[in-house]
Amino acid sequence: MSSDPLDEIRVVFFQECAELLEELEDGLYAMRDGTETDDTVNAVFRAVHSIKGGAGAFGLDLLVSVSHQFETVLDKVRSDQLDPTPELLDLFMRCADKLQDLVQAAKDERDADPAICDELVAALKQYDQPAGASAPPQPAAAPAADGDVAFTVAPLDLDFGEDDAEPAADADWLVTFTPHVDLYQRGNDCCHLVSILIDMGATNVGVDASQSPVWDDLPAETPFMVWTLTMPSAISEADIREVFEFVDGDCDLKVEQGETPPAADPAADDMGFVPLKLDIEDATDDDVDFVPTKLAIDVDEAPEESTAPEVDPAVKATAEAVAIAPKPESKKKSAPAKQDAKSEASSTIRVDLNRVDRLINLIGELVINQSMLAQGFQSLSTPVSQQLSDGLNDLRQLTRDIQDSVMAIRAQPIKPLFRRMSRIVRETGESTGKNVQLVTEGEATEIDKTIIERLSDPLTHMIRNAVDHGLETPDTRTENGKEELGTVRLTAVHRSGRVVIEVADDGAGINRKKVREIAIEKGLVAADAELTDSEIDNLLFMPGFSTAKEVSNLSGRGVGMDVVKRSIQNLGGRVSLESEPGKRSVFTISLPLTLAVMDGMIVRIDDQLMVVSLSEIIETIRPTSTSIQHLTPSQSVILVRGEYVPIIDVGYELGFRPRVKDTSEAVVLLSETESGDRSALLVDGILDQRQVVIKGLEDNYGDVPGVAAVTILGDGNIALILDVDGLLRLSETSRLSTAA
Amino acid sequence: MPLTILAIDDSSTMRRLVQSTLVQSGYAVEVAEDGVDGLEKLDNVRPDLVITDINMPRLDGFGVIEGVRKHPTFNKIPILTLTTESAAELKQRARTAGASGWIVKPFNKDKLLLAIKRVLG
Amino acid sequence: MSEDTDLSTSQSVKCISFDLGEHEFCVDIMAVKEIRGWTKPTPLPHAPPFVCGAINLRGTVLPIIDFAMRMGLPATEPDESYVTIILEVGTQVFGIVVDAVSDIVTLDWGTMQRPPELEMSVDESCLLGIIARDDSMMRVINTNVLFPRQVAAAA
Repeated sequence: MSSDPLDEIRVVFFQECAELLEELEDGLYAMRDGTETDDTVNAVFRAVHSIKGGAGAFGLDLLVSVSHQFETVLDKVRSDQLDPTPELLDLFMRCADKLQDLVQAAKDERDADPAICDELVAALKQYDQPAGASAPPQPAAAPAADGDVAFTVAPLDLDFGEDDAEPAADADWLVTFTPHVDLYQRGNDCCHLVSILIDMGATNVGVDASQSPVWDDLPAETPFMVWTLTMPSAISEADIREVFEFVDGDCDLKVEQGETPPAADPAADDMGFVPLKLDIEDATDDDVDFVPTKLAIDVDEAPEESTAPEVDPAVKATAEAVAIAPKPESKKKSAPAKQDAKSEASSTIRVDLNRVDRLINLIGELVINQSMLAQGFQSLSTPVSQQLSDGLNDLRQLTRDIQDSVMAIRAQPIKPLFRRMSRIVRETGESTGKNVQLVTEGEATEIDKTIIERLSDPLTHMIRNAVDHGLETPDTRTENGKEELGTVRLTAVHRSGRVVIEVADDGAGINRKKVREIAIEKGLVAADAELTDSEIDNLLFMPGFSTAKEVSNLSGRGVGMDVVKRSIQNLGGRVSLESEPGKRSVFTISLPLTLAVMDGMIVRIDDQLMVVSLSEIIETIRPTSTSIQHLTPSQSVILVRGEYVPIIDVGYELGFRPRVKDTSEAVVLLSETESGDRSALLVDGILDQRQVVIKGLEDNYGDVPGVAAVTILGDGNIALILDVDGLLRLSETSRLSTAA
Repeated sequence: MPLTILAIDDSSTMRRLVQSTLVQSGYAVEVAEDGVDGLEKLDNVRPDLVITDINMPRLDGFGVIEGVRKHPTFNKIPILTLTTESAAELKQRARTAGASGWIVKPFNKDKLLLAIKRVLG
Repeated sequence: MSEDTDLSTSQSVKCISFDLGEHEFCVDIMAVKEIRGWTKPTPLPHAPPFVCGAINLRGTVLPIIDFAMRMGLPATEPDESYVTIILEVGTQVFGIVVDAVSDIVTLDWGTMQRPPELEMSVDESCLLGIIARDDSMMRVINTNVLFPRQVAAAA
């Protein structure tokens, strides 16, 4: 064994565990929500069972012991001996959490803390007790002890007499073994058993074929041979019987200690008694190396082809009866939905994410290249032929289709992330003594894998915050006439090309008075600043702001909401907060579907090309001479269907040029911000709409106010992708400073 | 010709483990990921032995045993069930359905080979 | 970030040297990713004055610094004859525009001295130190502080 194949299987095991844990959680949720199907409990059981199986193979004892006890209780639920009460489901969830921890610990090759495991196992055992008498569970540790749960010999149905009494030291064992027809029906073969006994040291092997009818009358399937073997006394009776474990009931077996083994005499040479020694020894030689080729033992044929005049009808009837196993059939029918899901799942492949990412990068380059090509042809002095321009259009379309398809590979449902959050809620609730439930919606919403991954930390923080700071203690809630059980609601929805995630709690809302005081105290706002409610709420996102009097060990850790905001912004996202005192707080996160590309409008500002995300533009307007009104030198508005919308002069706000005086040549992009306010971006012209590859500035430079990211244009130059909200903030700041 | 074993298990870890162990011991091993898959593969794989898990989606181990025993060509081949459930009741059910024997997980190489030896020689 | 360059040990370091006006500068060759011709960068809004903008280097977006300005000297008016030295500092990649690269020199880090207090006109904070060489003085650039990450945010 050169390279250890176990390492590779280990990788498979952890991949599988991830899937199984997800299935497990799905199932438990379905059970909790009452949306389970017939197969749900089974699937949950199977998941735990498979985890245990693999864990056993890798000697992960803790994992085995928890999953074993878990499985035992699940089995009771599965067989309707136990009701899945909310308390029990809660315990199941915690066990699922623990399994996840243990798997992670095993994966990281860390030691896990056995204390919590013990606690969970003990809790599970309580459910195991009442009906325990009928099927006592294996002690939890047993399967882990590398080994011998296995062949605990099931009691054989032959009377052993005093089989436990120590055999007399000297007497050899006489083994008499008469196969029944069922032995062959079940795919067993006397010959293999005999050869094992020979390996163990059988000295004499004989077959008594005296019962066999004459050749012509041999029925094909009924054995008539009686095998006799002599085994040395050093071997225990149990060891001999164990060889026949699989054929228990399919043969008559006698293991006796005799003075003189009757079969020891190979001289009996008549039709009835065939000495077999030679043949079988040949076979054994083969066997020693354990080269798994078919053993051609002549004797083999004898019992199979020797037969009685007719098959006992009773035997036949039994054979047919056992062939019908009704349970699996009914099971199969009862879960057609699951069946479909499974066959779909089996048509998936696992791909290393690096390969996908490389593909995405390459396609990003292809998109850039395609636009370079298109641009190149546009600047040709001679007109291009119809064929060429059709070809270019096709290329553009194809590039786009490829890009969409590849991006779809990276898109994943947000569900696993939400599931992780439910755990955070449980744990935070426990440690803060709050009674809280998590309600999730829109789990199927798909979003780029990287975004999901990078959203985990900020979302965890927000959820902890919601439970820790948002929700009141049960007492306070009761005092205020609220239900004791607090609710945190986590929703995801696709909205105009973005994913909007909401974290809402039905807690006390933001204490604006306190927030304001703290902000003033910390010098974040002027003491006399006039702030709207929404502005006060959003002070929470200011760097260095923390409302907790002492840093709680949960949401604390010196990380404030400013970090949350920053990490969401780094994902091209935005976060805002709304609250209603005494009722609730709602954090809204808006994220792009992907970090890699977006549909952009290419605009010109001065001599620069810039990009505005199409998803942020409601409409484009060519202002007439009267539609724009200058309120002050620093503020203009445009009249759009009876509504005055403030104009943001992009070139000015970015510091590229003074304010535009003559707006007759300009174009206005009407856009709506997260908070629902409208604003009008003033640009010099619109050039094109196209898909652009998003490149971050953060890695090598940093945040730029008013700029979300950059892209690379067809000519290889960089164009800024504008951040509409950021521009709005810039314009507000510059308006205020001008006014002051 | 090495003997061919069809290993049916819904757990990819188990499939790999069984496969890897048996291939090292000179068997040819094909795998299937549930009972339906396993029975479908019978004709192509032409196994000398089927090792099947009991608890699987779509079609469980009992269904596999039943299917194999009804198969016109392979109805006599040995079948070993692979299970962590060492309960006597399950073994009995598998036997009644027509299994030749069983392997209790977690198994090591010796245990697996011993069980195979009993039914395959 | 602390400077991990120990001034006391004797250590030969290969550097790329370039002239800026009458001053000679050099940068540890290990920090140099590549040297390329000048391309017009896209201006970045609200950037510090010494940041010319950003360029695309085979799909990577990186900022370009006017080295003269960063050193407190008059701004460069670069054209195609100028070169950009692409530096990689930690995980950050950026370029500095200089007149021309003059040489690859081997310097003894052990002879490095603190920049003289009286040297005028150059922002000393960007220097690791100076190394006397023949009759000239080589100014060794401290790439760590040349373009601090927070520069953009602070602007």
